[in-house]
Amino acid sequence: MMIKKAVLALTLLVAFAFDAYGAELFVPDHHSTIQEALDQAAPGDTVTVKPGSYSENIVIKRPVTLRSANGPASTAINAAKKDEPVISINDATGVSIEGLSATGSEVAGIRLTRSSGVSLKGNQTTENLYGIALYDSSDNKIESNTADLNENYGIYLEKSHRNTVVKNSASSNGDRGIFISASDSNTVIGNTANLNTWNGIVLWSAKGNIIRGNKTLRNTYGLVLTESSGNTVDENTSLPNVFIILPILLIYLGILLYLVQKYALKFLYRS
Amino acid sequence: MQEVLLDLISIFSNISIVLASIGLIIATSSFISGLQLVKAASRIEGRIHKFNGIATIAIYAVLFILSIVDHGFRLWPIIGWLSGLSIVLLKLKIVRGRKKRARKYISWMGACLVLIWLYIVYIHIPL
Repeated sequence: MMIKKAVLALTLLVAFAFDAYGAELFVPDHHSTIQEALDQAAPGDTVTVKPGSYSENIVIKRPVTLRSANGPASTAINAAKKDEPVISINDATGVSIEGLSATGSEVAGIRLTRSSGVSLKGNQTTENLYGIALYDSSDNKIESNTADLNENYGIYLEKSHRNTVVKNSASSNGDRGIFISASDSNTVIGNTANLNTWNGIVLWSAKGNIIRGNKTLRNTYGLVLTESSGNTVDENTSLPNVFIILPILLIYLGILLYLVQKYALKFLYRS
Repeated sequence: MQEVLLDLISIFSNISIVLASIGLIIATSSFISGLQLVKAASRIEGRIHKFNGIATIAIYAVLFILSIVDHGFRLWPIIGWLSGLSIVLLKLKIVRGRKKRARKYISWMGACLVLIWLYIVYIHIPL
């Protein structure tokens, strides 16, 4: 009797252990499309995408991890329908997306709607209308993504609160790098928003956000706050010291060169 | 201080910023010698001005070509480069011409060229 109970306990322990880690599904090995794998995945499972180019519009509603095997440079998802986001996360919690490239959508590369606890890490969302867009989505983490070369905004937050946006690149976008609209208590730290047509980082009707240590170089306006209050804005850079020191130094060297040339020629003519 | 020095050294990581910096140094020297020439004709100042002028035009041309090689034929950059070149050519035309009224503005055009070089340096600083 004791042995039976021990075997049963061990079996349950092993079953729970497997359940805690979740299964791993591979695309295209186990499933031909990413969406098919996601539909088959149970909460807590991981869908690993092998290198290649995939033409899909992915919708995620369960707490799963979607990641690439080799990073965004070799794993690209192009929008099959251009009027839909490449990856949509709707009404979901605990979703994680890592190391994927999402391009070619006239809506967004990755769009979160009414979602929380989502982690976006190391993704590349280029050449969409918006790179990463959050609507009514709170307590998410957006880290080390590249949201460059999009038609409008790199990273866009609307009515989304307490999100963490760190170490992302939102550069060379057609309008703004990072746009925080009607969103409160977000933390925006260590991002790069350079070379955007209009603004690097914009806060519009936003309260209690922390904007710290971001780089906003060569935009029309670096950092713009409109109808916003109670935000902490510090240690951001729009014009580094070197941009001022270098030209002054070069002009000094120019004056020095003139004097050297003048005295050298005088010496030559005299001799 | 050490941080600023390291920043300055790390900037010179590509050929464009090195060339732009040399261009600004020579353009400054050329501008000063030009101002001296406006005050009084001098053989030495004339030589310095001519040599520096040719050198800056050559560097400008190399940077223009590098810009096209790196970024392709894009409308606004090309318009910008050609506008700068037109100011250089206009200055040359005034210097070689005999209209005294036009010569009044030669110092301003020289200052304009230094400003163009400042912008070229600014735009080439790697981010």
